[in-house]
Amino acid sequence: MTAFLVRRLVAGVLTLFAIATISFAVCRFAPGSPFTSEKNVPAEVRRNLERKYGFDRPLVVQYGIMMSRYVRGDLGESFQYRGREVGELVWPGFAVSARLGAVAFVIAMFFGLALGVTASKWQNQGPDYAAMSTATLGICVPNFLLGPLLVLVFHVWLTWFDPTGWPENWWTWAELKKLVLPACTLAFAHIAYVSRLTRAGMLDVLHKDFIRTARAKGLSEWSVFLKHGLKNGVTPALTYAGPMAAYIITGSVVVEKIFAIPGLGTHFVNSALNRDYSILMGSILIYSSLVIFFNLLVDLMYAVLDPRVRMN
Amino acid sequence: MTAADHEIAPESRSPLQLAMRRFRKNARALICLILLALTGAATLAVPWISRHDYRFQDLDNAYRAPGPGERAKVDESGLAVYDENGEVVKEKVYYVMGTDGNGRDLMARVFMGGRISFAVGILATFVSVLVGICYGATSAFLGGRTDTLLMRIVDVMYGLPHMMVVIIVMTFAGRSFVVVFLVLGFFGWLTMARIVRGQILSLKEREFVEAARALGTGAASIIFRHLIPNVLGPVIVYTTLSIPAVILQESFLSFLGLGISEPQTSWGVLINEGTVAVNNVKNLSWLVAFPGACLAITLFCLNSVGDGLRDAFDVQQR
Repeated sequence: MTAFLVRRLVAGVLTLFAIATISFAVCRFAPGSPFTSEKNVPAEVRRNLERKYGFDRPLVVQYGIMMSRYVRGDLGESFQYRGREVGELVWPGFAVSARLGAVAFVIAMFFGLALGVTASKWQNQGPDYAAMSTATLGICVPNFLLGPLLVLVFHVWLTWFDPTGWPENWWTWAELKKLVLPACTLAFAHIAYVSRLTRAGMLDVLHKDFIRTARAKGLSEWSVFLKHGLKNGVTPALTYAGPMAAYIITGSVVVEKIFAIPGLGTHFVNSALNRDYSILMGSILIYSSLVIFFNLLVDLMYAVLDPRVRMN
Repeated sequence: MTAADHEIAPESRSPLQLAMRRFRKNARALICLILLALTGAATLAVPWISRHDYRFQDLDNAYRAPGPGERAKVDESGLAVYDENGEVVKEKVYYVMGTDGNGRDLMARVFMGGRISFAVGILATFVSVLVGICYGATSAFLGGRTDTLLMRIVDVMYGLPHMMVVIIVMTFAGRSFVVVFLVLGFFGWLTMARIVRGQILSLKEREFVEAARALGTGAASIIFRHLIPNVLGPVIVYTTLSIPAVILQESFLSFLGLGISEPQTSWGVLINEGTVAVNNVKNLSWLVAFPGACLAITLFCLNSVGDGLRDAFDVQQR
């Protein structure tokens, strides 16, 4: 187990290193520069700016300086917002995105599992059809379509939820209400996947021999369903949790745009459009670390949930 | 062999024929296939369906709700036509899906956008399938260290936040149609490579391949006669399921303003334009409703057809 962890951690660090290198190369060989703007910058000013940010040095040296900064955990200085650290811009955005993502994650898991389990308990009956129709809807209505639709229905017509603004605190319903629409938009597609996976997993397990044994032992139907079925049937859904966390992070970019949320995704897209390489690289490194971390978590969870994996 | 033996011998069918026979029994998938064919035909037939060019701006009729209207008649050179009293001649127009803020016919734009969305989906999938098959097959054939190394690379690329890398490449490579499908195709081949490799690895050891080899069949013949036809099922299934995924990714990029750019359009662009225009004051819901419905129906149908094919080919879900 320790060897496995160490191996995966080393691989993760190597991946991060590769990502930093690739994005550095893409940024530097791409046309356009962070110091060009609509206004004509005098050549002298431009030269000075380039000197200040080290653009006049050979690429290898720039690369080395950048990497040694990243190793020390320093994300560097923004090229667009002069004099501001990337860290002080990006980390608050990350905190916002992480909260939104966490809420969406909980919603997706809860409703996904609930729908999937309901569907499998009443297979080919009303609840099953209702749950699976919702799931189908979640797969063919993308979040950038769902977001405006939810705003139209729940804000414009019904005026239940007002999605303007970011909650100022986390304990009053009036503030938390602002989070409902963005979080649901982000979670909806995943509710669909989780419920489909749960349903399939549950049905698969419920036809296994040990379930028949449990029934033959005289256990009550609910006890068989919850204790023996549920415990094994939700494994596929739980293994989806890692990729789901990664997808939620990506999907957050769009949701942040629709609802004007000042998260990491907003910084990411803006910095890509502004050629602000330092913010761009900072945010991509954060995103990549998260994805790598969640993938590692999935493999660990697999080992914990499924003893057969641990053997190998 | 006598004639009687021939009569008893069952008609032999290839796995492909068997799969197609199973697919034809799947009503939902068939209906979806027909719907898709209709949508596809509509996107190809835009110039005949709509009397309006998708770029033509009828500024008198900006933000017109679906329905009839009238506009100033223009001659071939684009000048207004006057009658003998010096009045502008009006002609009746009918906008089935309304118009956008620039007075452009939404129906023409929705179908033109659909054309781009379909084209991106199909071309990018083609690129990714091509790269995936070559990569996976090479890896499986070479085996040993090379195989391990090639698959490690795939593992590492799986770990990348793929959409983020696509966004970065898109912003720097420019926002043209070709770049969109190349980039999406290039980042979509990983799953294909794994599927093909797995299939070939397991097929290589099967008895019928062994038998072919024992009979002295050449390598090329084994690959083309025995391996490829058997890999085809999963490839077809994955290809159909990959097209909606790519269409979705393209819309995602276009929605962020990083995909297809003017004067071309796609469903993502149209939904974005609609979302920006719709607000509390004006009810312009058709601007989102029509492209949104088209996108949703297409995604639904493509996924249903893909699922139908998967059941028909009996491919295990990974």
